[in-house]
Amino acid sequence: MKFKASFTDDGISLLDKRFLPALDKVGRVCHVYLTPTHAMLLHNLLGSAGPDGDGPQCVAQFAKDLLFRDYSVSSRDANRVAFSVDVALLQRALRSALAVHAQWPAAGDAPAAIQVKLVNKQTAGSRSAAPFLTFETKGARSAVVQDVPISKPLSRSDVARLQEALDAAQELPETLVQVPDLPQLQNLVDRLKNIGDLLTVNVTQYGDLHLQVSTSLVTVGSEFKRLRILGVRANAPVGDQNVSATTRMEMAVERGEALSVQVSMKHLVKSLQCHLAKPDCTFYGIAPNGACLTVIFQYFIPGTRVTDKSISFYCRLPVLDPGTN
Amino acid sequence: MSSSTTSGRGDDAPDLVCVLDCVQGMVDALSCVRWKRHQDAVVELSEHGVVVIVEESGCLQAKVYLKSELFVEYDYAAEGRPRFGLSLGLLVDCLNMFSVPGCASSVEIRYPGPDMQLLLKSVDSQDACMHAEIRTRIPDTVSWDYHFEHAGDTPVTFTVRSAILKESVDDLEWPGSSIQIQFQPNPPSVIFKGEGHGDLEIEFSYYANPDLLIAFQCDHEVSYRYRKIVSIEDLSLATEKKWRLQEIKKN
Repeated sequence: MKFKASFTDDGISLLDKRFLPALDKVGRVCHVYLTPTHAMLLHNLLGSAGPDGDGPQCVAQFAKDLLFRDYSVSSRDANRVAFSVDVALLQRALRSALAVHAQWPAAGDAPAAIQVKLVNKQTAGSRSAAPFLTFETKGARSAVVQDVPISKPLSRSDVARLQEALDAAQELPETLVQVPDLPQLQNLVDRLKNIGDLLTVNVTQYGDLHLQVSTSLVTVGSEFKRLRILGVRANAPVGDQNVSATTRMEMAVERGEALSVQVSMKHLVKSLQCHLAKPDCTFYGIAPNGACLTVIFQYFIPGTRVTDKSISFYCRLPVLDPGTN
Repeated sequence: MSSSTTSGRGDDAPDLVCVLDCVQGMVDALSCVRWKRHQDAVVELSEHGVVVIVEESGCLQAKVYLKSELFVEYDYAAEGRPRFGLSLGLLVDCLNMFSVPGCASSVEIRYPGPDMQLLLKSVDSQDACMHAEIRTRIPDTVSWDYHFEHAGDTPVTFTVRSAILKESVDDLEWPGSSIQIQFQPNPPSVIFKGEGHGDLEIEFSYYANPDLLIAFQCDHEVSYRYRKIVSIEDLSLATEKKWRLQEIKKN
């Protein structure tokens, strides 16, 4: 089992400035999954009870060439390697690698790239070897080697489960609506969470996103209308503007033009932390049959409005009570 | 501004439909009397405005008057003065929702809803709409009526800056015993006395400093003794406080 690569400048700043801060907020430990074509950072894909496990699933997938040069990964399991790592430690290592790297004088040769590899080594004071992700950085006057402890590589069956979970997540919601302002949504949710722990989310084919918290004493909802739609769409029925938002949503669900799911407020708050990764667009949708609430973050190729296909970033929030509605 | 969708005055017209263009003031005022997370309140509606009454441990009562002039629109259609109980914390949290930066809009408050709820709804915002329904209770299930009797025809009141009052009450805590508040009409002054491990006397004189006692109303000398003055800290959000002191008699 081998892994060795050099970071590209864009790749390391993408991880340092965007993805690691966001993933750190979603959960302390994440899986790193390396395949011959992609590198992935994953949260909660191997939850104890599948998607109903202990939190939102979060997948950040990068084409290998975006993050790395001279990328080589090999294992007896179709050249796939997966292990778990503490996100904060990974971020610290990257930060300091970048700091050392920055010592290189502006003029002159380009600095040597930051190298990363998988090693198994015996540390002082321990009897057996342990796996590490090693970062090697050469600055102008110093060279720094950092070892970030990682878990033992995942077994062949766990890697297979990881891949299965990823494949299962490929099923896209039929209708996705674009939330124009993620910080605003976060602000709203921050206030909604004072009111209750259970959130009902409705997505209609008319481009409405409706969030509602209900307890025995209070019902509070917020409705975003006329959002951009991807996928299946329908025209909003005329004359339903006079009824309350809750009734309108119920009618849309009955007509089969909307889906409604209940998710945990805590999970939604966590998934909203993903806005730290500064996506260019964010879409919300409900997977077929109300399997989960999917949040898809889209990135553009810098300077264009063309989707960057080398980054795929999404969250899936487990549905708490699939029987409801 | 005509935002209410069912403003027709029929038999089913709601008791009150009012529109507030900025909730922040109301949130601040109500937060002053939110002494604990789960605070009950009684709301009384009238043609003059809305009164929110809270009480604590049967010894402290606060009223927030929201005059009808505060509202952009105030449609009162009830006979008598409808009263209902609700959770103040929920009301504040719900109102807070309407002050989310970026989607702040006018709020329509309506009572009662189909199930006697208090309904809040954002208006005049086309693409984002917020709504809330707060369940209300029959106020009589809570014993609110602490009889505030006048000690004479003129109620004894004084108005003082919150910061000064808070400081004084903090100081009065060290003698560690009861606190006496004494009113003198001549010269007009209010005296706070704490007795216990030591004595402390703080006098607010009406003539000494015009900024100290902003208003003073008392036609005879009177004094009251309190075991403890609570919740001053919470009220310190307000800039001025009017104190109306009477003997509290529980029925």
